[in-house]
Amino acid sequence: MGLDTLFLIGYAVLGAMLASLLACVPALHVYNVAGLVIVASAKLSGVIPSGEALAMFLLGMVTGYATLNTVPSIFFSAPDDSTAFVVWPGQKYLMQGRGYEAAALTGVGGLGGLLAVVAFSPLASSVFPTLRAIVSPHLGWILAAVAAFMLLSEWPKGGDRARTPLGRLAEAWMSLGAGLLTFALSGLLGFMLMYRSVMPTEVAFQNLLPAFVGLFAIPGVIQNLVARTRVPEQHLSASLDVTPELVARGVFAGLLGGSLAAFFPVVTGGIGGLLAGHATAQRDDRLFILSQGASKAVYYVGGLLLFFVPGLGLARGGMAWMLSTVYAPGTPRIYLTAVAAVACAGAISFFLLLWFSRAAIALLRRMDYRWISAATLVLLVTLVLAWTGPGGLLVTMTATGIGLIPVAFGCRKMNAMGVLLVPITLNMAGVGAGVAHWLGLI
Amino acid sequence: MATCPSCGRYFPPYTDAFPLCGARLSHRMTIHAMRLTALGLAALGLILLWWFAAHTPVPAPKISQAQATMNFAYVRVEGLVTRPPSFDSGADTLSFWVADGTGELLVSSYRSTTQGLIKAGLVPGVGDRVSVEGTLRIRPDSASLTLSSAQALHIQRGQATLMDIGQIDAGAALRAVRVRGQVRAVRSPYKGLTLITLRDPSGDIDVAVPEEIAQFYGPLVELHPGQSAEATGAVTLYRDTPQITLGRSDALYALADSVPIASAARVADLGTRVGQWAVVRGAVVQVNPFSAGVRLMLDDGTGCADVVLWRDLYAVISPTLELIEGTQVAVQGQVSLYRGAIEIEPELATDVTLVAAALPTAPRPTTPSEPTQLSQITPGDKRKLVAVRGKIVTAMLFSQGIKYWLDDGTGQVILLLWQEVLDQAPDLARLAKGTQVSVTGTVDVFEGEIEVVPKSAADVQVQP
Repeated sequence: MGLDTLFLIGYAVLGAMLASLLACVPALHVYNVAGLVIVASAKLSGVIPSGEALAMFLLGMVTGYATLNTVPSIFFSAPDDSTAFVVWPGQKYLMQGRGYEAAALTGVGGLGGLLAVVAFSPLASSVFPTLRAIVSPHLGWILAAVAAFMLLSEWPKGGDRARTPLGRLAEAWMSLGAGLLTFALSGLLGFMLMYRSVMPTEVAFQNLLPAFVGLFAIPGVIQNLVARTRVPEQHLSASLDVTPELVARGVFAGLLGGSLAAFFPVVTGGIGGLLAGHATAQRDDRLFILSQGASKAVYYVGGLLLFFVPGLGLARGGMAWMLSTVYAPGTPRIYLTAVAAVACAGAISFFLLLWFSRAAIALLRRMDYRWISAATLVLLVTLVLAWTGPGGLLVTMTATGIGLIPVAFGCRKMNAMGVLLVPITLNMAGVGAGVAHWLGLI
Repeated sequence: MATCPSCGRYFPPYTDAFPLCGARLSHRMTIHAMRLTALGLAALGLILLWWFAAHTPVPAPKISQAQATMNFAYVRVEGLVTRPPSFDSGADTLSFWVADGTGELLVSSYRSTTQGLIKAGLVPGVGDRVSVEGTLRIRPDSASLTLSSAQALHIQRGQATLMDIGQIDAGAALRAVRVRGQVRAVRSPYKGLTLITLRDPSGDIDVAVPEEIAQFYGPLVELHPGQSAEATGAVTLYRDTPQITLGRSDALYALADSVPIASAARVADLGTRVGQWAVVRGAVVQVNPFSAGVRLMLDDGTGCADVVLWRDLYAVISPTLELIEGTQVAVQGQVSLYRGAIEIEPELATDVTLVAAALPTAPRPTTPSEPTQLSQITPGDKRKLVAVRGKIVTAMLFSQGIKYWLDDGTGQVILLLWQEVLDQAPDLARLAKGTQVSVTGTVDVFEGEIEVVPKSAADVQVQP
């Protein structure tokens, strides 16, 4: 291992440490910070001297974020699209005083997922190009099937309280209908963002930032503000209520979901986790939390690692898309360096997760939960306004309305992924432009 | 006992918060209000976004302004198509380059958009001014735009100007032009490209026909050398040499009327037309085979000029046109100077046309009736016509023909039979040692050796 490689891994570790800190800021997504880093790197060539160093720094950031974003999603209930599924069991643990254990379980799952990614990395350059060649012509219907499954697998809720059968049917369909409405409205929003965004073209690479903040982050924060929930005293557990067999099952399920999310466009960690959860018939909360931890780690980190696989040239996930504008990898050396960087950054991030979880618990003891939520809301709005201007704020406002529908009607937040699934699936089916034209967008 | 509004479980009275789920019990917002707020916010926001999207123009940055942070921006770019579009029929992808004066951008379309463009006859060609709308994709060293739909491409085809071929230079690059000329050559330097050379009196130019246009606009008319045709396209440069690149199949078609490519000239005036093309009428007064073909001396009464027929051209002409002394021909070709002598160099068989066949003549008075002794032929006899007789003593093949060493007992000379002569009588290439031959030919000297060179196979008589 040369000094150059150590130097690059050092950048990844630095990235992981920075992201670990930032990931604890509720609803601050790593992609938003990465955008700033990329813009700044052009002006700070002395700090980040090369494209490779920048790539490793961002890879470290993603690794750190994928592990540490558990902290705000569990303790401050501010999820992103990949952790929206973790919130409910995580919140359940939090309300039982077991938030630290939930965070640690997610971390264990994430660490297992990263280990699997590293173990699989030597095969990537032979497996993924073939897989890509097979799958690419079928992406349209595969994504349509994913969207259909996501909608059809939603279970009717609350259909047992109304007095009449019709009333019960209406109640049962209310959440299902809300899910469909969320999906449709977010899809409509996605079309507008993809074809005629109101945001300045100079920040087009952050087109989805205000939408994701509105769809996933702000509704959770608003929910915290209006629910006026009191967080009970948290217990810092010295052990975890899991067996090695349970960890293996959780990591396997997460690996499955994360791999789907990392490889297929638009399918995020949450959707991948949903598919894997159904595929492996999870019923245990611990298993679910473990698998979600593994899933988001594989989704974020594995997805970005695909970008480095020699001969593949696959940009999956927001970070890879952003990085691809300024850096093109391709050598086996840089790929192996990236794998080593993930291993180092992942290990450090796990310990930082435990430390930051304790810090979050300490903060919860000292501060009102609602103050943290209010500060988060202010931070999010400021971030959107600073990055994308008034146009972005309008998008966030709209997306918040759509993102609140699942909160208010009790359906899956994941339906809001229609923002990507609908326009991209229709584009792949060759009808996207027709729909955009029909909508008067082009 | 009442139930918790959050989890539905029974709770004891006089408490502010339910201990099991942590929910506060007073000053709660109703779910109904939250639902209405969510739906109202979503609907209002979408309407506003749609209104802004539909009523604001698509941003139209310059290509040079494209930067990493503009990745995925939906923009409009206007400019000139600078290269022929390329088409991948397997993936249904079409791509072409657009330049707006500040930079160049690759524009691509996929499947349904590509099919839509082809169906609507909207595949742009080089030199077309286009406006394209789509999503920017920024790479470390390039920028590209993915066309959003077939309707997002607008083509403004420039009015083609009828030009003389000789007027077209590098300064006309990307201009739409129309030229008329005669097809001089049709060739394919590599699969996917056909080059058709068109000539008019002012010069010649290659018309580049990319294979793809047949897929977009149907098959191209089949043209042959000698036909007259008209081509409309954009001027492009290949290694700084202008050529015309076709954008559509129907932009090249055969003309019913022949386009003259050279004006008539007298031999006496050819000196002022070196480098140009000219048509000369005259009589063949000499036929001189040489290593790479045949040189005709043409006399039009004002002077003599050499007509150079390279071997491949002569091989095409000679079976149908007897080029002997006295034949009246019209020859068109490029006028050049070679070692101080005026030459005309035809390109195609159609450049040499028969005006009148040579009249049957009595045996040429210049032909010597008696054979000359070989020992009497000296280098001073160069260009003289001689008759010789002798036995073949040695033979040597070379790339352009065959050499026989003749011996008549008094001396030796070389009998040089050029390939053109051998083509007329292939048996002459197989003369055995000791064969007696009589030859009438011109004396030549090559590297100090005396050669007798017959003009045709008829000048060589093999004795039984």
